[in-house]
Amino acid sequence: MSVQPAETDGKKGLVEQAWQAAVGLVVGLKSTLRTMFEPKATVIYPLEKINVSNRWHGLLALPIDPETDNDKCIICFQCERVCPDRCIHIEATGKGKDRVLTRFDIEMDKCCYCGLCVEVCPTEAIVFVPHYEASTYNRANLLYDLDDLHRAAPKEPIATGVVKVRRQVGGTR
Amino acid sequence: MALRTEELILNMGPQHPSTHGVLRLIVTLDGENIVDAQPDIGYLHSSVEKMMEARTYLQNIALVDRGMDYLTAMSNEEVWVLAVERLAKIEVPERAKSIRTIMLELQRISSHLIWWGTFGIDLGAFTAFLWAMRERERIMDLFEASTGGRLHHVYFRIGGVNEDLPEGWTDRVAEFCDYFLARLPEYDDLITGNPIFQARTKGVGVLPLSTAIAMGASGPVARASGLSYDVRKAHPYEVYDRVSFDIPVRTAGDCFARYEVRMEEMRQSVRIIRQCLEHLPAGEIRSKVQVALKVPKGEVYARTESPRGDLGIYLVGDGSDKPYRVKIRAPAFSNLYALTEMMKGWKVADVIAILGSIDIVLSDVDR
Amino acid sequence: MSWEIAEKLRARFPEVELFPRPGEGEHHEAPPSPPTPPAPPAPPAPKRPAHEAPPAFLTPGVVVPRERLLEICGVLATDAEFGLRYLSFVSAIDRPEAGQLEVLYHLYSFETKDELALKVRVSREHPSVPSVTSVWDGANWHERETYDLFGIVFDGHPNLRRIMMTDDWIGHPLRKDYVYQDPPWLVEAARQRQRDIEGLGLGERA
Repeated sequence: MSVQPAETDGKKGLVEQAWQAAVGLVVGLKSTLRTMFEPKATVIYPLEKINVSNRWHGLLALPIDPETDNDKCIICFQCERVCPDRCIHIEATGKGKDRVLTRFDIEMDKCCYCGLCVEVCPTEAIVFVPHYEASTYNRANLLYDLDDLHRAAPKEPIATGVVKVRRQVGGTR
Repeated sequence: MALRTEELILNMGPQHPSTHGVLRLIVTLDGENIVDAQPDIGYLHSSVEKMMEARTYLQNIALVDRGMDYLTAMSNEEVWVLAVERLAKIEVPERAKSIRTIMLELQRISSHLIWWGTFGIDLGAFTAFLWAMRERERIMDLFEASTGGRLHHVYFRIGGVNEDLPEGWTDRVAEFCDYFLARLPEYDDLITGNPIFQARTKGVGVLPLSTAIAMGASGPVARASGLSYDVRKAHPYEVYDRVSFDIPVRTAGDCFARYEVRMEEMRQSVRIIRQCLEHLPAGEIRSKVQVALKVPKGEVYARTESPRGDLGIYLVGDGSDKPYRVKIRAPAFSNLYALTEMMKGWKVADVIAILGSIDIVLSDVDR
Repeated sequence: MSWEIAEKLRARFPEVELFPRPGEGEHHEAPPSPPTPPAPPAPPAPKRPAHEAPPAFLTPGVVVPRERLLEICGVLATDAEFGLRYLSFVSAIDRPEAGQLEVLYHLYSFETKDELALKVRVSREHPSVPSVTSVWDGANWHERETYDLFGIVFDGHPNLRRIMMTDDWIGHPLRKDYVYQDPPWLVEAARQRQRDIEGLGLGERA
């Protein structure tokens, strides 16, 4: 049933084939040569950093509201409920106006950065911050508690535009 | 007296650098000729269909994103929200439909670029990969600006899209279209016109039309064998019935035909994007749908054309906020099955060319 | 999305059973009423939420008896009247409350753009259906997958082995009563992680 492979271009002579291959190679090399003189498409990452968009799904944070000096969380548990990975854990004590947050943990290693928690939050208490350097050597460090989430809320993105970072002593490491 | 020969069984993968993902190919060789090639799959199986039964309809958008084909997150989201919208009878605003179409076509280009780059690497051309990544990076930037994610977007919602396009985004897309069309002739110089590339792909791995249909192949693989079928034309969704585009069809059925079909599809995608940008309506981007949406009882099959072929979801709703059963019809699964027929009779050196030409993603095969 | 093809199939094989058509459950009882003077408007029915409505089958489909499956499939695939040459997928739906598994086939015709879902009901204890690989070659892997994930035996399949799970896997994951148990090493890894987190203390985390 199977089709036997035909000899490719069996009619053409070896010389002709070689000549065509050489021409094809030259045409291709011309393109690559042209690309050599175009501006670079890459950045040297640890030394240069690329700006990310302000919708970037980076780390999650609970920014501090300057008016109340506290976060805006109203403890409605909506983010905990909508999270597909169940990585948000909230606990609270007290009743009515005295209700305070005692625990707001996000397991960032489980988080899939879908943004559903940010979307359902009625008070915009939980937000994405444009930060992309969260790697660590220990998985346990990726459990973010209330303090971490308050601290992780910077006023502005970590990088704006392609910026040169000062070369550290001892090369790129 | 004939020379006594023995068949040799060659294991390729699951960690072979040229297999696309964790695929194991058990190739039976007679000398250099392939007698049989059996793919061994399941290394990436995560039972997405089971996981989806435990999540709500909204949460599942985040799951299909990464649980299925990870290179075409938008297409996965599209087929899921389409199935839910049909079953729950939810209307989508016109602007959202146009935005979705633009996103889907951008995703198609980016997925085809990855295929083009890896196909080049498979056949020994390293530059192709770097160039493909350079162009894809621009698409990723566009995705990042509008959705916040580069690979996994979670952008489509049941009844619309998550956020409106940021300011100036459409101009950037138009700019990308011009840029990309200018780049495509360079691709032809580098790979398409290369006689070595043609010698390795023309006439290799032929899949006849009748076999392609019988084995369930779809998408560019079937279209290269002469099947003029595209879900976007046959069962239009979003705004595909209002834009004009051609379905590239080849009849040769070999690796080069599959290559040509995908290259032409990228040009057609640019054409679709330009038309959508021109007629992008203003207005709502999302109809009101509650977070814990309860979908009526019933069953529906929604199909879309993903970059790999006919991607469908058979959704069974039971009136609760979680699906009762989801069957994902993965295009790469059937295309990979057709590989067994494509390989027979070719030399062992052609394995990688044939495998690269069908453009599989193992996460789509295994789910 | 036309139900004609399902009607045609029932005309030929009266024993097949059509899926309930959309809205059929509500209007089924109402006989064609003769033109009468307009009756006083009936009190509006209490509005029910959409998710409590009777099931809606938006894809045309039929339920086929197990014994006739191969014959019907052969007709559907080869007869010019149907021309469903393309098998999209084979799968199953578990209905534990009915004690049944529904084997599901989805067929498609490129010429008429018709689609048809086929269902075969089998018992959960010893499910088996004839294999359709002789009709559509592409059913091969799909049936293997269905066997793997649901435990349905396809009689006459050329190579019925597990395809997704490992060969020594116990159980069929997509059944509703399947419970997954973590292997011991994974349980230990999770415990270790818990110890790591506790050992760090609250203030030391970066």
